[in-house]
Amino acid sequence: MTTSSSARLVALQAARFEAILKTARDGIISIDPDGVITLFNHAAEEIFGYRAAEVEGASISMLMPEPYRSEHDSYIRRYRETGEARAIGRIRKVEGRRRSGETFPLELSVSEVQVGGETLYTAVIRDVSGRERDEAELERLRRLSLQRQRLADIGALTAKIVHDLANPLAALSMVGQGILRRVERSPDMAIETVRPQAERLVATAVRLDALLGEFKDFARVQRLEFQNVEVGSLLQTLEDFWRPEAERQHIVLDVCKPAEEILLRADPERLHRVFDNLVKNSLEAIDRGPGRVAVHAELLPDDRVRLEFSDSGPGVPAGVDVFALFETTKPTGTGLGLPICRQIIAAHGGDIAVAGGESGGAVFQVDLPVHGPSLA
Amino acid sequence: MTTVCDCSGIGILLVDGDLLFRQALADNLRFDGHEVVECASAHDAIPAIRSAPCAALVTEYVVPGANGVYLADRFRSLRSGPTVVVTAQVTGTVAADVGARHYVHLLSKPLEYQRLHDLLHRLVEDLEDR
Repeated sequence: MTTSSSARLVALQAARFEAILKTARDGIISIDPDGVITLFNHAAEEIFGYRAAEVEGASISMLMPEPYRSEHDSYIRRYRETGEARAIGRIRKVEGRRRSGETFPLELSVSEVQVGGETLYTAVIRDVSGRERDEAELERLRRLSLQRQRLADIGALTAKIVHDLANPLAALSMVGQGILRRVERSPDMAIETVRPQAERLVATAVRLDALLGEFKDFARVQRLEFQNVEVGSLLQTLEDFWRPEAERQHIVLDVCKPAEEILLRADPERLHRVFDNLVKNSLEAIDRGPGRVAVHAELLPDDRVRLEFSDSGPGVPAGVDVFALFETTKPTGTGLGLPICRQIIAAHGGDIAVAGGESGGAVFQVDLPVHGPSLA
Repeated sequence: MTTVCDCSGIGILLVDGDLLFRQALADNLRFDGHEVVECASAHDAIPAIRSAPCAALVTEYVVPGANGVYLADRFRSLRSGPTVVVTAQVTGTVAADVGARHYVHLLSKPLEYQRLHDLLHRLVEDLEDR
């Protein structure tokens, strides 16, 4: 290679490097082994509010808020002595400090290169304050949407209470009037003659009580008591509880516990309510065996647990939203069971969905974050 | 003391999807000497309107498979007897639907049995006077 062509190559590489520095959306900052800034690109200027000329030659610690600022010198010293790196070769989330004094979240990755016996550290910096704002806004909107859904549900619930309580109340009244009319017409009649009416009174009261229980459960805000629970142990309790009933109905209950221990941040009592509801629905859907209800748990890559409840029943009819309030495919159902399940799972930060099984039947999938709901 | 209805003995077709209410009302009607044919849905009620020996219809407005006014119209097309809609849902729509038919009478739940008794008594008397 001639001198002129190598000079042209160097010039070309320098131009490329310059173009990358100028157009990069991430901040790029180089420092020497003493932490002195040697390079500060355009994006870094935008992020921190300093011109390159103002910071080049100064300590990188000027871009850090406390306590990082005070700790930085000792960090450099420790790295020189021990070679133990905290930031090099990985992406860390730390805080930066703008010229205005404002602190902000940033993602930082640092690389180390040796150039002619000299060490150079280059940091690529991404301002994630916008992304965090977006995530917080998204979470706010999600909560707002849940609140609105809840208000709409309460409205529908009130209408349903008025409707559903009116009939049992009318029945109670009519039975009572029947007893009174008998007593008025034949004051000396044997008490035994009003036994059928009394039995109807009790049956109606039981029905009213069951209705009120369901309404109360749904209307209650889901306040959860979180603790660490082991998924395998949750499923074992579920299996122990439902196996006798499944055997009575000649249905195989196949509970497949995860191979490894999965700890879940959850309210075990509420989760049991959901799991019980799903297994009970499956057993009721099959009604009489032979049939199969399977429960399967697995850990997903994104720190979520998926619990799948499948059955060999008739499946969910097309067009039926089983999670909608008062939607039920059972003659005596209130249509509140699965909406309550949805509420409990949402309060855990999870999702519940239903699909048709490959060979018929229904498949309910419950996804739960291992670490509990986001607190954002 | 309640007296036995003068119209006792007339057959009544009673349509209501609510089992407990229907049984309790039927019990009261039978106690007054009526023959009662009970139906839980329009599916059961429509053939009964054609064939059951009933001179009066007492029906819920909200009936599985149809509504009470539809059943009242069917009943009216075959018989001249009293038709009474008894409902837990007295909304403007229901009132307008019932009010548009002079031959349908509306009572609300919870029902005071004596009011139904008196209404049936009056309607049967009116029919006899014609």
